[in-house]
Amino acid sequence: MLYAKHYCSQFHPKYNANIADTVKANNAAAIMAAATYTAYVASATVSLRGLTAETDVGTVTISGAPGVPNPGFGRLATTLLTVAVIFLGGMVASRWAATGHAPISDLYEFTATFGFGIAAAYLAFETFMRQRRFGVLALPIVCIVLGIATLFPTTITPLIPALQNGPLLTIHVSVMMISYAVLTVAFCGAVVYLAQGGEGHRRFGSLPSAEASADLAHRAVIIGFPLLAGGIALGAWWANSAWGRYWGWDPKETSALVTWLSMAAYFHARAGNGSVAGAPGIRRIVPERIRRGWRPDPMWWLVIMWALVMFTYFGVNLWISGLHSYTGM
Amino acid sequence: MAADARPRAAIPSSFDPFKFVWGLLTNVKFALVLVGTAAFAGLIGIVLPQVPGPMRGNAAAKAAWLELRRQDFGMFTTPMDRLGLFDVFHTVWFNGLWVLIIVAVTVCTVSRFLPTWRSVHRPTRSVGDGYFDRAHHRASFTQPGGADAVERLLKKRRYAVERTRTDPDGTVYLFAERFSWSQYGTFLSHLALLMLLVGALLTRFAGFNETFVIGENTPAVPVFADPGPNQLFVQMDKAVRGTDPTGNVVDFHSIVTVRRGTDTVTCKVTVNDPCSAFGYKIHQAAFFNDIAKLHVTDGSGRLIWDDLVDFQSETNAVPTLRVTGPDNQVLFEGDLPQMSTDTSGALPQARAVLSVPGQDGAAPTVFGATWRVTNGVLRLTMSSLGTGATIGQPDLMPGDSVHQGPYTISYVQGHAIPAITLLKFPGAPTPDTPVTLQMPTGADGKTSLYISGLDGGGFQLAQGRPVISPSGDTYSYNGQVNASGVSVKRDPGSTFIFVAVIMALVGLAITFYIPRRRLWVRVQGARTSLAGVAERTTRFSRELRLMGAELGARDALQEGDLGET
Repeated sequence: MLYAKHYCSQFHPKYNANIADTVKANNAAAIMAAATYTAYVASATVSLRGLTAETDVGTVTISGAPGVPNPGFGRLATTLLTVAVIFLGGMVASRWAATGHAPISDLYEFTATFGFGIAAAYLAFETFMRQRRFGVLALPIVCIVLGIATLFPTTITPLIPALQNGPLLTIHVSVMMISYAVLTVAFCGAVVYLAQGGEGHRRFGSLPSAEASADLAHRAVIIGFPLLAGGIALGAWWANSAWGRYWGWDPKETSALVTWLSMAAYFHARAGNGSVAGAPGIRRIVPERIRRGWRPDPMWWLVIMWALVMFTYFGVNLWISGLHSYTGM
Repeated sequence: MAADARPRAAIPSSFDPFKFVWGLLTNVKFALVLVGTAAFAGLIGIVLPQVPGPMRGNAAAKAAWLELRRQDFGMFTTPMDRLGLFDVFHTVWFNGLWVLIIVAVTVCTVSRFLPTWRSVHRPTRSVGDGYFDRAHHRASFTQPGGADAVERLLKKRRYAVERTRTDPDGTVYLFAERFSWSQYGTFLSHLALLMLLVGALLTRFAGFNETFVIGENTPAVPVFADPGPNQLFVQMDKAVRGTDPTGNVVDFHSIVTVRRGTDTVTCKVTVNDPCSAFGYKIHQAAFFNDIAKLHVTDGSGRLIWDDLVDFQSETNAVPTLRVTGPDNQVLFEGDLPQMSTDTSGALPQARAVLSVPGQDGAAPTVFGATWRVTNGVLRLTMSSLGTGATIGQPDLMPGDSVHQGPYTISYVQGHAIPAITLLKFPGAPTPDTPVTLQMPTGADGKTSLYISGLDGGGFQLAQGRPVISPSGDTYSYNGQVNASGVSVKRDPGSTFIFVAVIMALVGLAITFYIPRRRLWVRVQGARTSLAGVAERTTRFSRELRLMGAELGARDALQEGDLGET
């Protein structure tokens, strides 16, 4: 630890070069994992085609049967992902040692840690739910996030006074980051579900079934939703301590609330069977013809939710100034 | 016509407004409309620029701010302003929307209590045979163990199991349930929103929150408008902004003394650590280092002003210059404040006069300087005051130097110095005459005050060196003062808010993580049918099939149940 602190110290001239090397190594591991997950899913497509070739000559046509992916690619993909998670975890730990606080105080640190969070959250869900094929979507997102992290300044600067609350900085920002990471996994589930055409449909045999996708998305949301609620509540508590008020409609806190509301809408949409057109009052306003056709799947709310996560994360920090503009840029 | 003329019997309208409103507020789809609208409105408030808080109560300031927005929104600016799109979070419609959400949550909470209680304590224990064929979550398989084996498995999985019926043909019906009380979870999380509302109302209407800007070593500020025995006074003993060797701000703190009667509390307040005194909390809300202490007396020595001048973070861009003589002796170094505006050219330019002290008792040499900011860079032109001829090249950039006789004038940098225009300033010809004050910094790091707009032009005030204006008033600048924005707060709603957050999180945890299941079982010979409800999983059918497999049924599982699907 002492070695790390000395070696990674901001005063050490090699530190920035080391960051660049570490980021490259991490990105390489994540890219390799993403490529292997793609190969894994592609192997299921190949097995599907083989099945079609065998049956084409006969009278039986099998369509939409689940493809069987190559288990070797699957094991390799998970191993590479585990290696990437260990590398990223090491990067987070070394940055923590160098700065003396959780590495979540500027956009570089937060984005790099976010990449680690998504990879770790996905690995946990993959292990728990025994669903490996969502990696074809989750890992490219990890690579993109890590790529974006490299665009931000990596220089360590001292914490500004508003952030000098070690426990709350660590807990509040970590909880927000973990919730965003878990919600990214939910987004992956929702996208596959919608790509499959919803419950009872299966457009792509090589991808997970709509039911399995909905299950993953829902399980991830029920973890991400309370985490985000807890993160917002902790932020309000900190705001009261720092600025003397719980809530000030600052763009970042409002955007987090809007993200949370989008998930509340998802839960209500599930309970209300998707459409708002049947609500009393709305029923009287919206013509029957539109009402019948207007039944968006609740899963669309999770797609909107993730767009809002990205907006809260990058949009508000980079383009809208507020009390949370700690971009380091 | 005759028939039409007969009086008709009054037919009561079937429309019941109370029932309609109640139905609307308890409707989950309407809740979705409300939640979606609140999210959309919040998004508008984030994306569109919002009127800064201090301008909200100042019509003139708000109008000026809106004029700036007109560059982006053009003809839509006024209608957008009328709709409140530049102040979304304080509009009637936005707050009304939240009131409606809170009312809907209240109605929903009230209306769902009895059904929830009934569902937990008096559930439907028997279902018709048709339910086993059409339930969303169901499974059917052949297993050898009969009803006893099913009962044992369910009990092992923490279900409360009850035999509801045994038919003469031996068909056994079971009802099993697990964690039915978890239905109270959503009730608790909805109730938390109401508790949050109570807390927020108490904070808003029974709490106290006032912010003061208090300078170091200035008289104590009274907290309440009405004097009385409970009056509090806050004095700023020290307002500190600490920087590290590279100039990064690493510390803001204040040492304050709070007094009530003869009791005093002295404490340190940081951004993250408010201090408590007499039931109130003192928060560090801001730090200011652009405050000047000014003292003015009239010709008869009567004090007419002894107060702080708060520059309110307003600034003016001026050049920092360094003038050296023939032997490289520094004759002037510091910021050159703007003294007037030159409007003769195509673009207005700031103008000032630089007076360099003469050597060996000679008269001072005077230069003219004009500048304007283009593309974020201050471009400076020096001229000879007598002839008006430009010295060296025009539009000097930071780092450039020009020579005039024995003098070398170096343009060091552009610098934003505190600057503000005030009305009703002491010594101004009329109360409506604008007077501009600037606070430039000299080579020694000390600030001075430049005042323009009074009778007779402008003058510079060095610290501790009073100046008598043409009208006979004496102005003394007593230096720059550090000040802190301090919020004094009492929040009786905080306990409610804390409890509400705990309730919400516990409610969500119960709702999401306690896996409630309700199951009906029919065991008809070797054939076992299961059907049930589970809110937190979309794959309850698979769970039922896996139970069948555990019971030894060979026909329970479907493709993909044990692997990836």
